[in-house]
Amino acid sequence: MEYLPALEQLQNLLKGKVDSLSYLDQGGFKAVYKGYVQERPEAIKVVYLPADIDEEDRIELIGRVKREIETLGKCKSPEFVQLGSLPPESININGIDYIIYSEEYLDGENLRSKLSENYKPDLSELIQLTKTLLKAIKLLKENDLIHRDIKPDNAIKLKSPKRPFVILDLGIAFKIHGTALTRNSMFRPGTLPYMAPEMFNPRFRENIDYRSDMYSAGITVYEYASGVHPIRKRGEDAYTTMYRILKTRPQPLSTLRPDLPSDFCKIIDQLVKKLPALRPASIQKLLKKVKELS
Amino acid sequence: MKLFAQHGYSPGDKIINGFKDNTIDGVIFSARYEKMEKILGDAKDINSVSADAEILLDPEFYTCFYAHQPDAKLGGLNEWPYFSTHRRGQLESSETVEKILADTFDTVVKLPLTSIIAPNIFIPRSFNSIEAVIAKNFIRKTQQLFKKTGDKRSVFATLAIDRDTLLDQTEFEEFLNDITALDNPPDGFYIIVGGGITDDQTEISRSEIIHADVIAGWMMLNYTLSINGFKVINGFSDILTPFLGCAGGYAGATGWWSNLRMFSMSRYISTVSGGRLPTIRYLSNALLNRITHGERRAFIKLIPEINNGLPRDSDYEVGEPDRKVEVLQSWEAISHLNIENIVSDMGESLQSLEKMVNRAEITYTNLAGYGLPFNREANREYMEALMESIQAFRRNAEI
Repeated sequence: MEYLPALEQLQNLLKGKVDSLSYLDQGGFKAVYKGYVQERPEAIKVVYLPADIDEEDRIELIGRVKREIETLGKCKSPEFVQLGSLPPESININGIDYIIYSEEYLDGENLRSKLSENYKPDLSELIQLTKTLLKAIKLLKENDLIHRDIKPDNAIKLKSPKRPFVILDLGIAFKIHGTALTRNSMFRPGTLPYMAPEMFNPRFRENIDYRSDMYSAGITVYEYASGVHPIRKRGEDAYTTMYRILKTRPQPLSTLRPDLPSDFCKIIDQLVKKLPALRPASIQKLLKKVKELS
Repeated sequence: MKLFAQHGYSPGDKIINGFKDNTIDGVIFSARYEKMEKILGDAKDINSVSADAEILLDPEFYTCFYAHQPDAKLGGLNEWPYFSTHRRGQLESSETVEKILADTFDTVVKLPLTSIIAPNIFIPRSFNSIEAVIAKNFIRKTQQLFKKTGDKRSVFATLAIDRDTLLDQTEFEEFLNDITALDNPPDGFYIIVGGGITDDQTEISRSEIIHADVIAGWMMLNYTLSINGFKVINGFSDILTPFLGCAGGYAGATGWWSNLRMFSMSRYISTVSGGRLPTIRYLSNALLNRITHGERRAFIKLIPEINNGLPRDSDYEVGEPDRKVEVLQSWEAISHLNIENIVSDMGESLQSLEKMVNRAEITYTNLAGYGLPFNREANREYMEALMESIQAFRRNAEI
């Protein structure tokens, strides 16, 4: 993040509200710190509002933060990260504007970092992950929402067996039938290798539904299970990845993880089908199938 | 894959005999030819020979745009209390659609049917049309209105389409995306695909349905709907029944007249054609086609496999059989093809279909080798369309 606020200045500004602030991570316009609010650890999110962007882009950025907070407010379930006790607030440090708020602190590791360790999850863990993702998508669907950014970076593996995985980052969640935040119809929000093929349809805003999230969830589980992204090859350019998303059929998961039951592999293979109609539409029935495998 | 009798004009005792032969599992009564008051007795007769027979009624509401035409041939449809004439504009109103669904359900739930088929209109050209929007509205509201009756049976939404609708892949896929993610979906779909007859021939093998993209599209409908938990009953599917079964279909249907083997909206319009009855034919599984009694006699001397080797063959041994036997032999042949080709693994089923088509192609080649070039060009096109349809289906279904 550009203009990352100095830890000391931030701590001074939050004096009396947050103690023992320490830096955790950053990406895009956001930085994350760990701090203690009334002696409980929370993740303090700091969103940078650049001064050199035009007013509409600024409104869009603020809108995304607001929407993420609203969405988290609606998705009160163990599958999602929960809002913390610090409500959103505008702050200014050295003439730079930020929005600051808190989420619960999650003691765990995201799937991306597990993948970088060449970690090989077993069936029971993969079932837990699949169930978490499906329950999260179901809850979003019930609120007419699509996450649009499900990927290993946004799934945290926790240490608690009661709550094994948590989904993060609802910043670009999409409200079906809602107003688009961006005016640019060519803009595709999300992370390219995890985007569903229908996102590249010029009429994607009219046609997109929760099955795009099912696709991203399938790609995420496939990659976590096999250590290999089913579509993207390392080092290739974005256009090649886009072409592959539209045209390349992933290798069946069972060929990379022959130790897993074929019924589980088939479920994941079905989720990464190009045509939404080929992905199972009933999350309830799919959850039942997945549970039967455990 | 189950096989149902597609009911129509002059059923006689054909359906009862089909159940006795154990080659059909159900019947789809035609509202045009079955009187409401007759269904109770007919259902009893069927149940006396097959206790678990599936009994359905096609309300044939898709003819509603034709009813006001002077040359319309609607049989007894107008006698059904739910049936009424409509203009397209009227059906754009959701209230009208709801009323039609409610009226139809009120009538048919009183009948001894095992499942209920909901009314719908026919989509004539494209899924990007007003008719498709209206049809989707019927599908969307089917379960909601059916539930109001309190009836516990399964309800099937009708999807009646022209073969042309399956040729625009983009529109077709968007339609599939829509109907597979309904909030309150029906339990299944009753699908009929209309295609005209290209010439005087009345066989499905010569019809416009025999086009690789049309068959692949019909298979794709069965596949996408079945993986999403819907039961799919295919009306007028005749020899294509095993193809649809391999793709996940629950049942197919065929009947005794050519217009019960393949669907066309033209069956509801009077024509000036002569009244000569079509020649009685034998459905050869080796040829995937129907041949006349004379052709059969000549062919089997050279290629005995043209005989199916099934019990109904005996009806053809002594001479041209009685007309009412023809459909019994067809049901026997198709149900046998279903058993031979449809297994739980779709990949294996598709391979089996390919073998079946290859075998037919070889049989045609052998016939030509004996100097019997039986409709050589037409059959080559027929075989090509069947084989390409399997390949196109694999591609589209990402198998």
